[in-house]
Amino acid sequence: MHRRLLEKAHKWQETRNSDLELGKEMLQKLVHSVRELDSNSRKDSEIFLSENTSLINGYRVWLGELIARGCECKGLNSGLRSRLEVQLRNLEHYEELYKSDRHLWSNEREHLHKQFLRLTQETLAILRRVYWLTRLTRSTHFDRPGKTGHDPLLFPATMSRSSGFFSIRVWIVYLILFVIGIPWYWPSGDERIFLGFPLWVVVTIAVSFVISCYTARLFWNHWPSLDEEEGQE
Amino acid sequence: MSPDAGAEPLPFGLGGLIFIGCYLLSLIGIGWLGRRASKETSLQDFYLGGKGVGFLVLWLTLFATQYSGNTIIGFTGKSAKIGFAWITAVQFMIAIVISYQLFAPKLHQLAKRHSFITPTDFLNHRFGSRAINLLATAIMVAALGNFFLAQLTAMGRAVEGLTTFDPDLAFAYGVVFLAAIMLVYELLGGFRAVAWTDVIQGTVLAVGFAVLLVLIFQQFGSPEETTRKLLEHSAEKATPPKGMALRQWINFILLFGCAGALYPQAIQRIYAAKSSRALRRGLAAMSFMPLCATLIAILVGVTVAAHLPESLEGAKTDTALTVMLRQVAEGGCFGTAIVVLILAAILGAIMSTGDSALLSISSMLTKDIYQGFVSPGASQKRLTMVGKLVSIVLVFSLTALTIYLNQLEGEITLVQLLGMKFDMLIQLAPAFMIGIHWKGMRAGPVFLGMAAGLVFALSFFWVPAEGMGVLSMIKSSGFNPGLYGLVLNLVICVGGSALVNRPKKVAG
Repeated sequence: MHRRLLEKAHKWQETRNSDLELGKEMLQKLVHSVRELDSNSRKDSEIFLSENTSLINGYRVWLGELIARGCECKGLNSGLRSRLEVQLRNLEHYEELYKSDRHLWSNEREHLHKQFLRLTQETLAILRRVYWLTRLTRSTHFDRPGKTGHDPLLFPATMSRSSGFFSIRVWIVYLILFVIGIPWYWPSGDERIFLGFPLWVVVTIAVSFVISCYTARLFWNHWPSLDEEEGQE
Repeated sequence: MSPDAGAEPLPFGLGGLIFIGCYLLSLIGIGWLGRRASKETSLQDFYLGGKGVGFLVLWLTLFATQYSGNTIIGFTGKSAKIGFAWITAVQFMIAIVISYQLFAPKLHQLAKRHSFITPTDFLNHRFGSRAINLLATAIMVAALGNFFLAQLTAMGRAVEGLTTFDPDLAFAYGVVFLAAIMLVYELLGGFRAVAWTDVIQGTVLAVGFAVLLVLIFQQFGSPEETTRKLLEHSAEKATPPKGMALRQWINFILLFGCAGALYPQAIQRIYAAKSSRALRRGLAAMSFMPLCATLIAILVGVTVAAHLPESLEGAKTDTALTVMLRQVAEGGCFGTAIVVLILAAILGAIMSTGDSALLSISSMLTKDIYQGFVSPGASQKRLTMVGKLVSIVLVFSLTALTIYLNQLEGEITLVQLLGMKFDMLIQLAPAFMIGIHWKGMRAGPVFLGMAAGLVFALSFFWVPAEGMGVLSMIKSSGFNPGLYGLVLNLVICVGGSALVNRPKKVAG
């Protein structure tokens, strides 16, 4: 009903002549819907402990749909799925706590809302880490792919595990390694020999080996998993 | 630094020639197998091998393509000349792999999704600007043209060293014969033939490096002996680099590290990886190749500089490897066999790099220029045919140019200009490495930055190295003009994009 009212409101706004009849009709419907809500909906105090509020029910439906889509796209592994389910159980647990006296006071409702918001944010943070969210949001968050440079794959909302590649920490480590690996700090004419080679050469090669290992590790462990094939292989 | 297998003939009998001949014929056989494996007549199939290649083929083709004749011949020569200071080559080869982190993962995904064939396909997808497409293609074709020319010259030099004919004649026959073999297997199997021959060439190259490592210790004693000898007569080759040498060390890491990753044939291998897992593993393995290949080439050069300094006096520096091989060949049949194997590795290194460059230039001229500007509606069959024709014309014209240049005393200006390939290629870095991540990067500033950086870098060709002017000081600073051009490029494309993107004030 809320969505239908919004649609009507948008339609009314788009009408250049500001059709007053449409405004009146909308107001009447709004009043009617509020009356319906007042007369038909139950008070929180009347809801049994075993029942969830509409807030929890809505969250459950929303989450269930996302999990189903995630599993379908093979982007949601069992670990992430169980983390999402834990979020939902936590929310239900909080609600039960607040409704222990069979009544949901306004301050309790506010706390529950805050909890709901926090859990929703956490859920979104988990979901953003997997590719399928990009696929879900492609049609709404991005313009047509191609010339505008707004390709969802080109600029996805996030890239999982990409932080390993682009975090400032990675480049600081590289900077430090190269600063040690480039022989700028050795005294000129240094003739010390170690393992048969000049000492500065041994240090340079050893650091180069460390750089190679670090680079290989980044490729191996921190490759952004945007890959659709990954699951298939 | 041009590859040069050595000016003096290095005969090794009929057996050796038969081995080399069989090896070269096997390449044509692989080309034929590649043709049989071909599934359709399309640019995607011809230039990227259809669905792409797995880890092992990808790794070996990356290795064989990146490690050219220059690595095995040029690097030994350079280290014979400047000593251990050329260890910078190990670091800049690692820096190339590091640079891939900046764009390879995302580029691979995009290439798979949108069926990219050439590097310009990405730029077109990202910026949709014909001006950028044209300029970037021109830069890449010019850089690769020079690269291909260098490989053809290296082929001629290698044959010059293999036979006892008149050097000029041997050079000409060598270039024509090897270029013809390369063209045949490439026309037969396209990317598949190139990648599969790279597997053989990469393997022979790896074996060649391993043999070289054993040789230097067996033939010339322990590393300590080498270091002490070097300290005795050429201490500057064993002590830490200072001043200009140190600045050049940093310059090479920045310049090659950035531009080397943007070689079109390397980018096309990112596209050609069958899966991101294959690419991930291939690049992880490539991280160690500088220590397995480049370092060995440097050790060979330093060993020759320490033990055979008199052989290098007055000779071209690139002859260091030949000097060592002659020494080895004197050790009887076993020594000769080893020399033949290493020469096969050298030929493999040169040809694998040359064929990749040829295929890449042909793909860009066909897809980006012919299809992009001349005949956008051409069918796949026609495009593939045009691609093959382009390859034939390229090989004929560049082979003729190589032979002509060999007869000239000095190189012509245009070829010298093309020698600044890294200075040119590095101007593509912002468009690829930043453009792929930053949504706000705009086509106009990118084009202006690329053009300004290119003009700035190339204009240094005419600036005298010695003088009191600012430009002369920049040229003799130890850093390539391309790096200064890149700074200008970055300022224009990043600053310009930020200006274009700034929020506009709404009137009222």
